[in-house]
Amino acid sequence: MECHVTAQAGQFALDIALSTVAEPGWLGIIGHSGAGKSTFLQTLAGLNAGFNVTGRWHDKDLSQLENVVLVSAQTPLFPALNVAGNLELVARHNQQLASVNTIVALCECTALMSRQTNELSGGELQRVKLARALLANPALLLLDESFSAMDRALRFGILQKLKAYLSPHVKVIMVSHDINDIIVSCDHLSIIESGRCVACGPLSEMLNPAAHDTHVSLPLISVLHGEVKARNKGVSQISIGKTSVNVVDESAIPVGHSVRLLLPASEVTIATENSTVLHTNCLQGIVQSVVSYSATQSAVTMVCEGQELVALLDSYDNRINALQEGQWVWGYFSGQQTLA
Amino acid sequence: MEFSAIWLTLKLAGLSTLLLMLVAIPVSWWLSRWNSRFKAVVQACVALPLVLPPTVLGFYLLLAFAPDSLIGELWLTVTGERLAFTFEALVFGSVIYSFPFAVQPLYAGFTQLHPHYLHTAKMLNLPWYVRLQRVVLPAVRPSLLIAAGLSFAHTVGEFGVVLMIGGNIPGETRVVSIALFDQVESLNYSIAHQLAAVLLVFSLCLLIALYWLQGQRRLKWNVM
Repeated sequence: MECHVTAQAGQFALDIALSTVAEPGWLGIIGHSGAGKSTFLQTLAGLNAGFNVTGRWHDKDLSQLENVVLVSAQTPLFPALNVAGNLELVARHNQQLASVNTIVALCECTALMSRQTNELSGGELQRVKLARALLANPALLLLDESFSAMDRALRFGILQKLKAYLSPHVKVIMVSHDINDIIVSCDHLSIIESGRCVACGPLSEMLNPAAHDTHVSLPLISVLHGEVKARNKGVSQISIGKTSVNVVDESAIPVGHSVRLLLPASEVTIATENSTVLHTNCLQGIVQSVVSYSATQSAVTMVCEGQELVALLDSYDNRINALQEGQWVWGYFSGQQTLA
Repeated sequence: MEFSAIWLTLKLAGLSTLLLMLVAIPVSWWLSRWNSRFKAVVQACVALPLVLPPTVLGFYLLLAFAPDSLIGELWLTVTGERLAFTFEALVFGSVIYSFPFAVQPLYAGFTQLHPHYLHTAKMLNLPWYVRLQRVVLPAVRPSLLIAAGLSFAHTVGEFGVVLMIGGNIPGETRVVSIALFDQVESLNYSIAHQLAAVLLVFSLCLLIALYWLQGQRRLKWNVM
């Protein structure tokens, strides 16, 4: 993918060039407030007349792309119509892949249909805006803080349904202050600072400890891919390779679905022998690398069941320095983790 | 009672208001979206009837409607009749005279409509007539009602322009304000009282309705 957006608004100059080897399906963008994330999306959506967009995404010219739909604070609902009126108006003038009711249910808007737009809470407003955007049959969906007012379970639930609903042809660019939103849904990540893209690449590479020398703003999080095997009293049993772990799941992802398990590196501890640690999950693997993360911390990357698991440990403990590449270790973590 | 004068006044005000709305909506829309250093000149021209003595406007209109002038001659060729001292001349005059009263509320309404609504509607593939019908007009509905109400009331209250270009022809140009003037001249004070009361009560009721509407809608723009 190649995408180049230039814009000039007063003193603020935007010159964002995104480039990836693989074609991203979902691209996440993070950056500080005022970095130009929203202006970037608005320009892609054609809301900033006179701003320049060039580039290609999946053999399509970005400046010629039709049905680029933005969901943000700058795309208000039409106040003269109620929720149902807003949705039906857009549905009538666009072709949808699914029925209106399916999209309304996906965005948890079924109970909101008869409400007036000024009666909606922040999270309800965001859900209706998302539903309206989906009814416009987007080819490129731009989400600018579109889930910020929803609680985590609702947010992850909708994100999961959205991923399942959107065909692989629909591309998504998502801006969020919450890195977890991006980690659970995106395959690529880009960092924007002062109107410029400073890094862009696959999520796994961007979250890698080696990338942290340049991007300290990113948290160190491992993303493990697994499948829900069973569910009992709010706790889901997830299989990661041949190993099973138990994780509390608020969004109740059904049995049989593939999931992403987000493990912050600071929550993982490592043992050199498989000892009996109570109430924790354990994954066995071999040490891949030990790198210095900060003055007092080292990031240990181990490979378990073919996936990378990173642990952040105190570097002044001599036992960390004694770890050898290829050595067998056991990683422990609690069941209070993010699942999506 | 001068019923024909009252009927003529209502006919004149109704027709002028209808024409004003048709002209003022596109003009106000264009003016609200137009940025140029000449904008102040155009705005001043639109607002001119607010400050100009109606007799000045009436004088120039009288010259323009004369059979030897361009407009008067054109009218004569097309309709076969002269334009000055006719009901049609009054309609023309009223439209120009009340133009700022129609444009100003609409202009305020259109400038208050945030571009985000229009951008969003366009982004969601709504055709232009749907954007106009479902997004723009509902947002400026209170402004539309106020513009129509003020245009109507102002046309009912006009005197100077009518005197200059209409004269006092019963059933053609003798509106209530002219009839009142005529009755006072003839010292018929009882009929004059009735006509004055009709104008006073009507204008008061219409303004009360407009101010009530303004309060209901919490409009930023003042009726006057």
